Amino acid sequence: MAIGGETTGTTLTASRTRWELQLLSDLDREFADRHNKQSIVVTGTVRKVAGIETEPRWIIDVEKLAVADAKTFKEGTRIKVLGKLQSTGPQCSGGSEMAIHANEQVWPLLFSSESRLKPVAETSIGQTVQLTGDLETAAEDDLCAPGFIRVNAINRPAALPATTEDP
Amino acid sequence: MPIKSQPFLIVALVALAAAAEPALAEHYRIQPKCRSEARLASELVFVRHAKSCYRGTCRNGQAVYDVTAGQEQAVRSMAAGIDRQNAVPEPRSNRLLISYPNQNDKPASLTLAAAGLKVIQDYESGSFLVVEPRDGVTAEAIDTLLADDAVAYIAPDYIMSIPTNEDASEVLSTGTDSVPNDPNLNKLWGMQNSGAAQAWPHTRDSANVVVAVIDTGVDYRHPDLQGNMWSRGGIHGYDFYDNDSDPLDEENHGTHVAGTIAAVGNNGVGVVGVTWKTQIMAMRFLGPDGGGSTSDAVKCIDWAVANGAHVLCNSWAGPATSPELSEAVSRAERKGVLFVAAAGNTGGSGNNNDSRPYYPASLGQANVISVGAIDSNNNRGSFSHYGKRSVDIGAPGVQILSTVRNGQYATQSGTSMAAPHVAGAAVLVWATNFSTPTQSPAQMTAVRDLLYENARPVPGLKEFWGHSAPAKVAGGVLDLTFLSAASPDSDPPTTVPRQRLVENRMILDPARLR
Repeated sequence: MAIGGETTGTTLTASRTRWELQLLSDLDREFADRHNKQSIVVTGTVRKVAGIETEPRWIIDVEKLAVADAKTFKEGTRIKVLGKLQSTGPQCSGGSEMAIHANEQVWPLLFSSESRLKPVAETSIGQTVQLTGDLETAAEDDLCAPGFIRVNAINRPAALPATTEDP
Repeated sequence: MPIKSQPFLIVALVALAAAAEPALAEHYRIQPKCRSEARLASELVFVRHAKSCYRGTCRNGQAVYDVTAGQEQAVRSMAAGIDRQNAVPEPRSNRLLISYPNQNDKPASLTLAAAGLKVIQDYESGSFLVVEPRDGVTAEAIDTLLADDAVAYIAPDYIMSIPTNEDASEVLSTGTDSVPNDPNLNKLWGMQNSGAAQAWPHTRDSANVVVAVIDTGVDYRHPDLQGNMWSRGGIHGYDFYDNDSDPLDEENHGTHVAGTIAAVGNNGVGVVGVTWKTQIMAMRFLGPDGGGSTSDAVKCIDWAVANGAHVLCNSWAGPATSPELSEAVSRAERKGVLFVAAAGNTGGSGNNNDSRPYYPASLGQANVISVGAIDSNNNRGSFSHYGKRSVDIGAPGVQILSTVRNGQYATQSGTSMAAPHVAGAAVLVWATNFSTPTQSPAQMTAVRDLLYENARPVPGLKEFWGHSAPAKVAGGVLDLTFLSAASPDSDPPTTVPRQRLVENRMILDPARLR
C-alpha cells in the first residue's frame, strides 16, 4: 500500500534503487508471492512515472521472473537502452560527459578507462544507438537518478559492425 | 504606539475583589506607571513589581501568577470578581502579543530567545508577534523585552468574548460565529466549495468525536494541530511501522491530511480544518517512503476502532487486497465506525476503479466512503481515480493548503486531500446530529446517509461516481450547507451563558510588595 495508491504493490530493491514491478500475469503474481523477500532476476522494460503525491517512480513492466542462482548471484542492474547519444557537461560524480536520451529520460554514461567503446560512442553523437551496460548508483545528492550506465556494448544500426563490445 | 485593534477581540475583564478583600484593595495602588511600563499591559506591570511569573489567562478569565511566598494575599484580589454562576471555562493562553513599529523594525530573535519566548506567528498585517513562553513570563523576561526598542507594546493574548446583553444566552465563540481568524483562510477554496464555511456559523466543533488518520503519522506538535490531538496517557495514537507508541510523521502526508480534517480553527494561526475542534488520533503504518504493508494497515484499523475512533481517514491504496484487510473493515463496520478512503491517483487520466479496483476504496462494505478529487472549477482532478460503482463522492483535492511537519504549511494535490474533507465533514455531521457520539451502526449510517443525501450534483461529474448505493447522487460532491439549516431532529447547539464583562485591573502599591 502507498499514499494516494501510487504503487504497483510489488517492489524490488537493486542498485540502491527501489523499482516497482508491474506484474502482468497471475503466474508472475504467484511467483512474486512465493519468493517474497528473496533474491530474484527480473527482466522487463523500465519506465519512469511522475508521482502525484509521491516522488517519480521507476516501474518495470515485467517480461520474465526467475530465481537467482545463489552461487553466481550478484546484485546489480543490467540495462539496455535504445536512444539518441548526446554529449553533455559533467552531470554526475562519475564525471560523465555523454548521455543517452530515451523516452524523456536521460541516462548518463561512463566508460572504463581501457574501453574501446568511448571513441565509438563519440563518433555516434547525435545518432540513435542501442547500448547495454550496468547501472551504477550515483551519490545521494547526485543528479543522476537512478544512476549512470557503465557501458559494455554499443549497437549501431549503421555501416559499422552491428555490435561493438568491450572484451 | 497604539496597538492596532484586532477584529473580534474584546477584553474579558475581571472585577476587583473588593468583596473578598476590601481592606487590601484600598492599600495597593500603582502610580504612576514609569515610562517603560507604558509599553506593558497592566498584568505585566504587576509581574515586574511583584517579581512574579505570569502564567496566563485561564480559569474563568482570571490571570494566573506564581508569586513569592507572602504575596498570596495581595494577589488574591485578582482571583475573585467573576460571577461564578456565569463563569465560562476558557482555554488557557499564556501567549503574549508583542507589537513592533514596522516591518523593518522588529524585535531581535536574540531578544526573544533571551526572554525565553518562541515565535508562534508574525502577524505582519497587525505588526505584532504572537509568542509563547517556554515556562511563565518572568520579570527578567519583561526587562529583556523592554530593552529592545523594537518592542512597542507587550500584552497577554487575552481570551476574549463580547456580551451584547448580560441576560442573553448564545453560543460562545472565541471569534466571530462566522469567520475564523486563521490567516490563510482565503487560500482554502475547499472549505468554501464543500460548504464547510457556510456551516460554521451554525456548527464547527466536534470535541466528542474521534477521527483516526491512518497514514504516515501526524506531527502532533504542529501549532495548528496540537490543540486537536487525541491523547491518552500522553500518547496520540500508535505506530505500527516502527512498532512503538510514537506516531510522529516522518513524511508529511499524514500531517497534511490531519490539517484538512481539523486544523485548529480560529486560533489566529495558519489554516483551519473542516471542523475547528475535534480529536485526531494519529495512526502510522506508512513509512518515510510513503509505503507500508497491508498487515500493518489492518493493525491500525483494529487499534483505532478499539480505542474509540468514530471515523477512519485512509488516504492510501493499492491495486491488490487481502481478506485480512476486508475483514478489518468489516469489523469496523460492525462496530459502527465510518471508513473514508481515497479513490487513488494515476498520472495522466486517472483510473477506472470499476475495471481495475484499488483498495481499500473499492471494498464494498457499507461503511466505506470512496472519495474522488475535484478542482476549484468542479472538474475531476485529471489524476483522480473514478468509477460509477466504485467511487461514491467527490471532494476538493487539487491544490489544497494544509499543515506539514515542523510547523509548516504546504499545498498538495491528490485524492488523499479529498478524503479528509469528507472525513472532517463526517466528524462535523456526527457531532451536530448526536449530542453523545458513540460507535454505533445506527449513528454511523445516519451520518453516512446525510453526507450522501446532501451531496451537490455536478453534471460534468455524473459519469465518474455516485451511481451505486448507498451513494445517492450521481456526480455528487461534498456539500455541508445543509448544516446551516435547522434540523428538527437534532439536538440544539450547546449554549452557554455569556461571560459578564468585568474589570481586569488590580491596584497595587509596589512598596508593599517584594
